[in-house]
Amino acid sequence: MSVLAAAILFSGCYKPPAGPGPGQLELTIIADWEGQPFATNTEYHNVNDYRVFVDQLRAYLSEMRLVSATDTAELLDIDLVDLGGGPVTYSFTVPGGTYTHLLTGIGIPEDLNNSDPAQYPQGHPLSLSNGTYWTWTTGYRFIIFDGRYDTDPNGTGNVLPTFSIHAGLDTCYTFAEVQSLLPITIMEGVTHQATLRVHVDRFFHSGTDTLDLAIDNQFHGGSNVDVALRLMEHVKHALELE
Amino acid sequence: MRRSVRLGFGAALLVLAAGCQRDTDGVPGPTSPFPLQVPPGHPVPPMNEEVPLTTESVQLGKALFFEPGLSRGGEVSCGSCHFPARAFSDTVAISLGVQGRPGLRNSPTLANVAHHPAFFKDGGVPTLEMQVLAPIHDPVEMDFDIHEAALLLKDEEPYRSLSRKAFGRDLDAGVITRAIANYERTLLSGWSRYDRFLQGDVHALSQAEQRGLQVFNGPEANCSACHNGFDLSDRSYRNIGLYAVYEDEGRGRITLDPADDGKFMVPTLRNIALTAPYMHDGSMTTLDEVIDHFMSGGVGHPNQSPAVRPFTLSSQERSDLLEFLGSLTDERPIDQVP
Repeated sequence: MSVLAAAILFSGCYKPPAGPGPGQLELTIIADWEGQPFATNTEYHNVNDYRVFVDQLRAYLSEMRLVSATDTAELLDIDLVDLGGGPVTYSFTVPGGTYTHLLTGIGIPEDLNNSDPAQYPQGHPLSLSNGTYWTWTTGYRFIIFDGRYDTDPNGTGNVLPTFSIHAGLDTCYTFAEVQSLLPITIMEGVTHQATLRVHVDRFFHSGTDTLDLAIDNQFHGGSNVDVALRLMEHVKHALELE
Repeated sequence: MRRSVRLGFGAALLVLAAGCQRDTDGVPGPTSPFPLQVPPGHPVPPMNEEVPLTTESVQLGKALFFEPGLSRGGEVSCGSCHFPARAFSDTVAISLGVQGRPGLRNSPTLANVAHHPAFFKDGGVPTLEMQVLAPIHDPVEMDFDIHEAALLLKDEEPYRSLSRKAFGRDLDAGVITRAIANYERTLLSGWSRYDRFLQGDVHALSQAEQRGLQVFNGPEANCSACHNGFDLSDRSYRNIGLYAVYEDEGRGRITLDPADDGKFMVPTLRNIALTAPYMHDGSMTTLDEVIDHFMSGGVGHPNQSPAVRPFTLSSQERSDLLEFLGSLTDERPIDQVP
């Protein structure tokens, strides 16, 4: 009887070994151009030394996760980020642990991309009111990258030729694995701050490929999807986690 | 600062779904099934299983179809480019949207649109409900925001009462798309003299029209190779050799396959005498021009359908064929909603 009582007593007090408690992560997304804060309607010179003015730059990020050696913490399901609108900060509650990198979808997962957009109210990232839904087919523009360019680096005055690359379609959805420069350690009671930098200047090139705006300046769906796929690839390599 | 909380993907979707207005949010008022009249010999069109075809939803859809408040500035409605007297097609090659902006393609008839497996001439949209969104948001058509339109209209009659009756809630984006789609499902065509002839009324077609029917099905013109079935369309996507280079990629824009460039869904020929101008871009104003094109065999585009090849018709055969095409006009309005 005493053995049984002791067993009950001990089982009542037993707690399984717990991992570190959840902590807070503040993740700020900052767009920059060669290390300086990025802004629309500002003259930049791209990898081709073209004068470039970006009029609009919005992108969907989705299925964002923080990854440790043993675990994955889900951060963000989906959001539409105005990269020309200044830094955006998210606050997440994340299980304690040491995380080495971040995974994020660029664009919209297929199931959401093909869902009925009428169901999303105003204010939702997938709302029709955001102007990101394509009207000629189902699905959203994952990235809206609009602006003007001048192949003459010394040009002055109005810059008239336009580029407008609206990368979308399920085939364009891509995942970026962004290594953290330093491990992100989440501890209970502590708010960890991290920055996801989006280097807009790198949207034009990665590896051996360069988007030459004099040639590759339009995509709105259709057979030149290659332009959109290349942009998505460049964006994938334009992210950095600090 | 934007605040967010971590959610599992599944949990987030649940929250999303819960946040959305659903048909079950409210209790629809007393509704009655819409007494849909299906043309004799035609299949019952597929319905949206989640949205019953009620008289109230169809009436709401019809009111919205002709509502200019769905466009920016209240300039145009669906009915501005789909005239009932023209079998719900337009009279111009390219319809004009708000501020006179030209669209990209000829506005097609909506007759029997409920039977379409996909929507638009390139099949880029899978449901009628999702199709409704396109013209409302297209900058060259209605150029508006369906949420804004719903806010503007929801307290007006008949929208307030019909929306609550049919869907148990106020007008919103989902109500607008479902109601208009339901109305469009009722636009059935199949009451022409040709149909009566098929049902055994041998006097329904004149002698010339009957000869024209033979030309239509015959080995030379062989129109029925593509224009067959109850709706006179096999719903395939075909390049008919209209241009050597297509500005409009058609089906290719959807599939991203260059072999589909210049292909468009074979249209119905029902009410064809009412739906001029013709072709995906409205580039032909008469059926004579259309017959000339097909007799020429097309321009020989690499993707051109093998069904389009040169042939000859006597002047009598040509005349008879035109007579037959005229017999495909419905003898009653295809709009069943009073």
